[in-house]
Amino acid sequence: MRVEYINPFVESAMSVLQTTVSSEVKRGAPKLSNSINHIMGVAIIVGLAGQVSGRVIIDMSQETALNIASSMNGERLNTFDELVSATLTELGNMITGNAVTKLHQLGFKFDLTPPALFMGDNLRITDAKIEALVVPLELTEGKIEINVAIKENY
Amino acid sequence: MNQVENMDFRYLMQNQKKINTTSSSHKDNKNIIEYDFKIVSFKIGDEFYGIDIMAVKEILKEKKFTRVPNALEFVRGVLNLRGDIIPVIDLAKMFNLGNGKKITNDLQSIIIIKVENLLIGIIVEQIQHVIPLRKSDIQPPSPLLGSINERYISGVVDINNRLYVILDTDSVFSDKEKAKKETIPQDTDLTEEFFVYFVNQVEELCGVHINSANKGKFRDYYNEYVTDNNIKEMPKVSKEIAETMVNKVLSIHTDEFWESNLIDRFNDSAIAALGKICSDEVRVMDIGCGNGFETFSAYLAIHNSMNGAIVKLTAIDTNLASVSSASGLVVDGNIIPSWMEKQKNFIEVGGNQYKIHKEINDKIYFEFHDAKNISANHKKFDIIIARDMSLYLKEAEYITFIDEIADRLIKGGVLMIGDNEVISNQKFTKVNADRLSIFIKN
Repeated sequence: MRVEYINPFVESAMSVLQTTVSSEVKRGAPKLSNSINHIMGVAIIVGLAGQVSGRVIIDMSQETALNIASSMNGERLNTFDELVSATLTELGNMITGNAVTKLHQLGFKFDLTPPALFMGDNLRITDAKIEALVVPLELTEGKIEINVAIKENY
Repeated sequence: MNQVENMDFRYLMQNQKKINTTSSSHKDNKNIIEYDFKIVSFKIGDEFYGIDIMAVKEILKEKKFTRVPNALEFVRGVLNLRGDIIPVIDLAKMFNLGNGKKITNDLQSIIIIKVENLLIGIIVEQIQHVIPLRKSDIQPPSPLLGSINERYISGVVDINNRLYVILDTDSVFSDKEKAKKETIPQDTDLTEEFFVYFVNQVEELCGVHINSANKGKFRDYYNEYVTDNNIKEMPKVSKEIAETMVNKVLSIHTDEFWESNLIDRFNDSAIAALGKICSDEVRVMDIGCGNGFETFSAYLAIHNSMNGAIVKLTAIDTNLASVSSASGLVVDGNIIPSWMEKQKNFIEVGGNQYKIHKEINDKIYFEFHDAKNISANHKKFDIIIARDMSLYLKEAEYITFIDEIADRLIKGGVLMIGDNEVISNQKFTKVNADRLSIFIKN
């Protein structure tokens, strides 16, 4: 992962979460992970295309997902309904959209696919031959992991 | 001593109360009882033991220690306690209390005791508490009691219906120490043990790996060190010594610009081989680029020697901080060697501070990438520079790593590893190079 790509994603995740979810966001040290990743329960996936190919996964547990959706909507949501999924996909959109805007300013051209939401127990994700950057974030609502894997197309 | 006494203050107080009540019921109308003796209690097997607190220097919980090969059975290893090397002894083994319970080697509670100016660590299964006692509570050992030989026991005490055997550390260890000296013949060759111990210490202090790829040179430097310092006993390893040793193993000009001497040797071997497979464009990968000194040196060296060929360089490192700062590396003008043509390739940013030219910087991709996941990279390269990677990878990881970078090189591609590293992989053939380790992919 090119170092230029890292900051836009980390910064945008931090700022979006700070403004929409909770003001206290703690960032852990970014890690590199191999191709197989365990998903905590809910994953918002946004594909990247254009100059690069790759994807961004925003991963959290179901409980965290409900907490975050509740905070974003300003009311307590207890069931995983359409409102919750819509809120979470919007969160995914905001984080990746923000990051891609920042990358555009640096001269990198990325396109985004609409976010998809995956849910389930014991989920795993595998993408062949790609190393992912994992940024753990700690909120009062719970733990989120931003998992970014980008492959250069040249 | 404070450390020990404060170990479990609350428990101590409770215990003291309990002892107060039990003993005051025995001993008639004395309200205030003075304790003149404290023991640290611990458990071995199913029995409880105590050691006079005055003999205890320190208690270490979950401390890692280094094993010593070929030592006496009850000597479990040695421990580096702030620079002091302390033997660690397994009391269960020493007293033949081995009741089949395996003690793992990693993390153990260790009591450091002092016997005649000698520090000894003893492994115990479970450290219990500090218990205050009166000398008069201690009953002399019965000859029939306990598994430990009678003369090592200074007494037995009953606390809350539990018998604690109080060990006489002086007699236990001074005896055994003598026995130890007798059992090891003076002329035994311990060099190998010392070396293993030294390697372990260096690995622990510097966070590096000494494996088959770099052990040969490390051994040479170690032998040099032993002769120079006339070392006949277990070598003491400080962080300083460890770092000096590691620095000796590192290749020339690590974390600094390459000097023309190295460039000449690099041209004779690596560039000569590179010239056979490419001319206009060279794809380079620099693994473990650190702060970028190696990256910029390699870029300019290849660019100059290949008659201005386009160099596409990917530089990777797992240290996010250093790889992020590498592209903006600012250096003092005086450390830029003349072959790097300061005026042409660098821009002055003020006060004799120089930055690499943007045009060059744009051709270098700095990536946050782990060498262990090198197989996830799908690109092909003409030359890979991976100096001293063996220090940062475990033996097996390094072997896989070398195997995997072979797939990243085109046929005839060049691999440059650390000056002091040795590899044996069927996919590579070694090239004759003056003090450099250059390989060609078959």
